Amino acid sequence: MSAPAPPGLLADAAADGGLGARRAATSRTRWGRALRRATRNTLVGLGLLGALLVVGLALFANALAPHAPDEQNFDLIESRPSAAAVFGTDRFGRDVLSRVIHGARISLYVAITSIAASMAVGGALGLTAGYLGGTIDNAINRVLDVFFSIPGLLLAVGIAALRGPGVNSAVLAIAIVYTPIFARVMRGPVLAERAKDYVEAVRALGATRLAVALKHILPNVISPFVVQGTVALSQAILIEASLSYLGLSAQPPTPSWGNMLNEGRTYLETAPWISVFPGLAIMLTVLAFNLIGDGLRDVLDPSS
Amino acid sequence: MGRYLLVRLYSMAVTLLGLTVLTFLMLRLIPGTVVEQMIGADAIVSEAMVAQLKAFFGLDQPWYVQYGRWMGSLLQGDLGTSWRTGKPVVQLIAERLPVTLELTAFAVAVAIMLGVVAGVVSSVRRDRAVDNITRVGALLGLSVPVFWQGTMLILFLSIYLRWMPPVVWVDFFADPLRNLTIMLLPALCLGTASAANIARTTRACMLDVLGSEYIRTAAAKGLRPRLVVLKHALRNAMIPIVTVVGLQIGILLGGTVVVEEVFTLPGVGRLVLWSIYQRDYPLTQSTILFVAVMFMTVNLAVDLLYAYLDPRIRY
Repeated sequence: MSAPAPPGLLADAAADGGLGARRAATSRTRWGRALRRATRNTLVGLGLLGALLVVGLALFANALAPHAPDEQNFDLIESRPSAAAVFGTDRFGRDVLSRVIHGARISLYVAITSIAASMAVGGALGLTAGYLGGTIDNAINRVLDVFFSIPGLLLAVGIAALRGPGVNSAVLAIAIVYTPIFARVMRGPVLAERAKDYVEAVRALGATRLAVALKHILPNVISPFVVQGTVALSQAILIEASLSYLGLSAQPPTPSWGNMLNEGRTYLETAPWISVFPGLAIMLTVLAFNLIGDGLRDVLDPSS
Repeated sequence: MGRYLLVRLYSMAVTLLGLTVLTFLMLRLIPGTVVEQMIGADAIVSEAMVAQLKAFFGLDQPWYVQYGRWMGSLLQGDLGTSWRTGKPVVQLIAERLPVTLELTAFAVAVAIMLGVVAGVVSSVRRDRAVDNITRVGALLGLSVPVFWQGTMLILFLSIYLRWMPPVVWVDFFADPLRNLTIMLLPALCLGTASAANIARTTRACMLDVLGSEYIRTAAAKGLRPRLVVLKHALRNAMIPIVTVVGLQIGILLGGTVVVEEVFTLPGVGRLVLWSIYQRDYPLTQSTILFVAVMFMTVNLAVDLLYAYLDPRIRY
């Protein structure tokens, strides 16, 4: 339990009137500097451009796609790429380009939701375990060990198969795989930070444990966590594609890059474009996020 | 070392116990049992018949009784009997394990060969064309979905080279050459991302080591560059590389589930997936436990290997 707050100036500082605000401001400038440095790098710039393009495609799919994703054109069945259908059409005469554009929605939705959820839950678990230590740390770690005892992709496929096919199954599966990883990424630096003098100083000033953890420790350990987040985002897109390909994520006729590839595999000899373009879309999107992750890591977490 | 090993084995046992509870409960929390799977969606079967079937599989018992029975037989070394096939789980795993192990071993070999060579060449030729090509190649390798890579390779081979890799599985001992031909593409696909990871780590570690004083000394005293790179630099860069390789073995073991499905290889990953769809509880539970033991053993072996490679590490 926290000690009663000492009266006067120090108590105000501890309650984050001055100290916290200053710390937050320093943290903001540090982030701003880091982001500016990261974006100066050409490769990171390319990555950002690619990622923004995919996000734009997903957000404005209805306006950007030449056709509705399930619109059938019986005059163009399995038609090769041409002026009428730039990426060709599939066996139902649906426009592959429009389906690739709409497919971006599923990929990004699943990746962003699952990684955000696992960052929130994993981060909270890691912070709690690292900061409180003792029995709680031990208990959380033992539970995490159980999830680490199965290879990640097998765990994701297993959970999605258990829950049954669907977008939410994919979100849940990926979130469960990544939660323990984020908890570990958070816990290590928190342990190191907890032992530092300033933590003891702020505690002595009367700040509660929660305030110390959230306002003082968290800003100092967040960099590697965010870097891990961007890298995980690219991996989540790949896992979602795998789940979709195995028929465990979005179900046809909803287009997702993975299920388009699965459908296209039957027509590989006669209509390879059905398989080529969704795969390229996955690869370029993942590449974009990997470039951003690499750039951020160089700037924010030079030790790795 | 002995004490460290004991602690690790104890912690493995605790984790496995947790895993048994987790898999057991997860299987029971999902809707549908093996009985519904066997009957099918459209069949008309009396309530009494369903109850009788559930009683036959012990599904009418409370969960703790079912768990207790499973744990009881596990402790006697019995992994149980598959409900759908009637075969012992051990036999089903033994039939499929060689495929998964062969696939993983090949993929690891591909990853190490490609990764270490690319990483070393890239570091020695830093910022030259070959370095840039390798770095971009590694990034692409990390970004390509394994199943798409497989599809594209098949497409390329069948359309341009007019060679279609055989798709029907043949056991290694029945026809070694055909078996290796079948494994070539899956191993290449599975190993690509790991090769990329290993190449990046190797490059980073080599650059670190190549910048140190003793490398300059070795070069200054007239040693051949090849000797300096391979004997003096690579050896000292090896520990982080081994760490990454070790991690990759575990990842590859899990990755086999997708590759086995794409190339229809009869491995353990597909067995797990099939057993989940069939709600074959004993098969799912015990196979997952088996995979976990394999995975954890690999991780432990990697940790022990450090101490061997780096005498400074003492457990």
